[in-house]
Amino acid sequence: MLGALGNSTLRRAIADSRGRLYRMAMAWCGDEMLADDLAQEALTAAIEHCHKLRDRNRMDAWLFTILHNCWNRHLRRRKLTQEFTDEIPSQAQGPLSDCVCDEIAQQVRRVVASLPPEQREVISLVELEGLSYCEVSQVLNIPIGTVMSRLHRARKALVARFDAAGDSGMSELRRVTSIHRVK
Amino acid sequence: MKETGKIDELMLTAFIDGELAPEDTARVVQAMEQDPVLRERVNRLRRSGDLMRLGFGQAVTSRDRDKGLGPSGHRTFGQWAASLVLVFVTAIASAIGGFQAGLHSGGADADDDIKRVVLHISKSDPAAFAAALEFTRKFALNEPAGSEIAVVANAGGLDLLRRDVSRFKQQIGSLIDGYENVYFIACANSIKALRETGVDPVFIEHVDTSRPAFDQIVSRLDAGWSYRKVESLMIEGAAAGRRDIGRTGGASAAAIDS
Repeated sequence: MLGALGNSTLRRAIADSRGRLYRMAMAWCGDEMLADDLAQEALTAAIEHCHKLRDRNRMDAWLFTILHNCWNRHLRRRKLTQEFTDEIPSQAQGPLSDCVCDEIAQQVRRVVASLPPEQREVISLVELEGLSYCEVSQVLNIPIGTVMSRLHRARKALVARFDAAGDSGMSELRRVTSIHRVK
Repeated sequence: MKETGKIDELMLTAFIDGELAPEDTARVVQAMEQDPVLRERVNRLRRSGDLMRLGFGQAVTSRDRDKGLGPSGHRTFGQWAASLVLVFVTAIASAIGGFQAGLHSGGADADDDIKRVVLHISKSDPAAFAAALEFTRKFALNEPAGSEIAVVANAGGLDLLRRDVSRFKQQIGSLIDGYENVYFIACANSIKALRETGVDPVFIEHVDTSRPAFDQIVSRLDAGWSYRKVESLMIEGAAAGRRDIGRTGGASAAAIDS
């Protein structure tokens, strides 16, 4: 309950995480409204239970664990795991509709949505949030070796499918995203 | 698993993420200097990060888009996050402040007796529904004029407010008709999610279905309302034999949140 919340710093940090929770939920479910709902549900649960967070250095992993629990509950409730792989966010109403990278972003989202859910979860936690393998292991409750193998498969599939799906309009993007950081 | 010498694929993934031990990192770097194919493999794996950030890096919630905080507003992610912090901190701080004032003030303010409570329900549980309605009824009966209570339902909690499935529709209708300070709210996001499954829920008349539950809750916290989950009513009721609810109407913000 609200009166039992921790100090204001923790509340501020939790409140600050809404956008990141939403972004993660988007990567997992591919649906804007559902992502909004999942982020909202996770944030509400976090506010309600924040007194249980002992180590504030683990807040990110704790929040994403809550989000993952919300996501799993949703999947169990609706049993639509496979259905989400075909869902494509509406470009017209998408948050990136005014962005010059809109088409590219939509293409990326389609490819990510085509990955198995367990790979989506791992790659988004690592690439979007920069969580360590240990943290991902804790969030998803899987061994670190599984984190590594899923991550590697997800990376290979993402790049390969993105390139394969590319048409002429995608060639420039590939050039941009191929700027190598390793000489 | 493919290997390049003693460097396998998983090792390359760990290298990209800085998860290798220093000696292994040095070994990979040295191998890359000598092997252009290996360099290309590393670069391809690294592109996944670029792609993920392109795909999701600027995703913002519908609530924030409504506030003009999204990419179309030409604001950076940092600015957007900072603004969001202010909104939430203000809301939470107001709520905490209001709660603490309700708890500790000595009654100097004439409005001290006025209570405003948002009651949150997220599970489809008849026992929880009954507890919520009992609490709401006693609140409406016993609290002074100006007090308000909003019952906010999302996810499974929507079942309470659905005319097509709720066992409590008559009670809810009576509360809505009988008290101007009682509000019933269904989460717009949860409704949409339900409709996407093929279910078209019908809600009891005058149930507010206009906004997401979190927005409804935060806007009230911002205005100084107290927050409760219905589960806490049930726990307290079981622990105290509902003595508090019976004696005070269960509506005191101090009793509710302490």
